[in-house]
Amino acid sequence: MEKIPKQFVVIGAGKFGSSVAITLSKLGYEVTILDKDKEKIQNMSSSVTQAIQLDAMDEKALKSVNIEEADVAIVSIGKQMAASILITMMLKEMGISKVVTKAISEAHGKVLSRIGADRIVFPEREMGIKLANALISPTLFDYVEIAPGYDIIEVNAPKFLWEKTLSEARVRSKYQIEIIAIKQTVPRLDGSGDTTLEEEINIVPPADTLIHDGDRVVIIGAKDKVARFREK
Amino acid sequence: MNNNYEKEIAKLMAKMQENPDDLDSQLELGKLYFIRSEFDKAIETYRQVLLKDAAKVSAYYNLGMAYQARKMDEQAKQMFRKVLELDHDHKAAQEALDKMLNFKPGGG
Repeated sequence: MEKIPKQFVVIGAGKFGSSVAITLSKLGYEVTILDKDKEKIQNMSSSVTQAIQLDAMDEKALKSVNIEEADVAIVSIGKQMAASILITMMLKEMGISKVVTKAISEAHGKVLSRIGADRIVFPEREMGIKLANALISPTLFDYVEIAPGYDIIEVNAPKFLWEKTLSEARVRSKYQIEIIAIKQTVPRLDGSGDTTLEEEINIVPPADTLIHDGDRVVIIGAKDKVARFREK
Repeated sequence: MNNNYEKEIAKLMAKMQENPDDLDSQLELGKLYFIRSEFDKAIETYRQVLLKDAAKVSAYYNLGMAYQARKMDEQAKQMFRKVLELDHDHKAAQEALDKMLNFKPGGG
């Protein structure tokens, strides 16, 4: 099972970077934020574990702040494509296992995908899509707060559910949450005869549905109950 | 259904025995293992193909899929990147890589 990250480093204290950093910090995680702008760093200093003024393009300076232990690095460098590409490469070379980079164009995203970024985000576009869908109809995403204190989330089926049916799993009685959908990946051949993995979704699955390693479950419940389920 | 698969596997193995350089049959065997969820066998089969032909794009692509099915994500991404190195226009590999990176091109 994938390790839950605990230490984060954010490069760039602009709107996106600072939002990510503050949110993670409020959730109790260790966050280091780096930016070359003194004022931005000063503004962040009380909100995160460490706020350090430095130019992340300076490889020596970047290595001097001991961020190699971070589980995840988020690169959020405004409109400087070359800088974000170079910094992403440096972070991967430093051995940080997951590097998430904000992209500002499709071309930028393509380069990032080829040089080793583990995840690429377009914050404004993604928010725009979410908002548009929310405006025209209720839509289920990987995380939704349906009411204050209540969440719907999509997660990998935890090990303790593997090879159990829903009725055997008894998640409702044990955790006070409900599994409302199961997504399974099915190996197939595509139209050109090559292999592919197709996603099948089972909405409101019957009680005798078997859960496998690799399935994703969509669950609904109170935040603390969902968190307890995830900790298992 | 299982019998059909067994027959197909036996047929491909016979072809490979007759002609050890028949990499296409070996690839087809790997695909059969894949759709039967025998991912480790699929991985081994594609690796054998690549030992004989290190530039076989389809072997890298299908190996990437098998790694992905086995949740060996780093290896899967490496394979898709290798496909794109050899064939810049390989749409399926680009889509597979983009999906793994949560990158949805077309609106950036």
